[in-house]
Amino acid sequence: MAEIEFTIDTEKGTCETKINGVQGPACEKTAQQLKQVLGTPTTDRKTADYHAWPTPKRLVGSNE
Amino acid sequence: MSKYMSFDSHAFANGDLLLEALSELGLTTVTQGKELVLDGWDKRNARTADIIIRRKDVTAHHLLADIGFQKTASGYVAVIDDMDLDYRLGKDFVVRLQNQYHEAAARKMAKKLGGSLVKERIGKTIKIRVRF
Repeated sequence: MAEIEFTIDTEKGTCETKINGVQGPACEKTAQQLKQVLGTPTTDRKTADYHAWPTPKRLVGSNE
Repeated sequence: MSKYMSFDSHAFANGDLLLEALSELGLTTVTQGKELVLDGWDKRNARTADIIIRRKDVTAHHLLADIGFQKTASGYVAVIDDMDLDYRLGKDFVVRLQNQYHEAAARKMAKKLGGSLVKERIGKTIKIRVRF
């Protein structure tokens, strides 16, 4: 399941976000929506999963 | 994990969320406009803002001047008298407002994505998970 995790430091008033379980362009779309409400981030980092391709579905059985 | 971002700015990007955050702090009567003059500031140092909490509307705080938020390229920036921050609102007023703003942003994202929201407080940190 896709998730956005907000970590709010109540002493500093800062906020960190992690987008989990969303790959590639869909992740970028969610990030854009976040930027619309939170403004320009000071840190903006893609993680390894960002570039992961969705696992193709395996076909079971034969067409022969 | 696929993307990480951190937000440290003192500017509030979204006007509606700023109003929601102000409301959470009990500041519900707001005047909006364009470059409105803030009352209570020295005329030689007159200040303007686009979202204003008039001091006459929050008599409980006995403010020396209006609280303003001026629209800039990066969002709304607070214009608050130093004396009000030191003796009336508390020095942490902007931090408390930012915390409320970030919570309001999480609620907005949950609504926008049709997701569920789980909030957890761990010491001085608030964790909010929006699942969609």
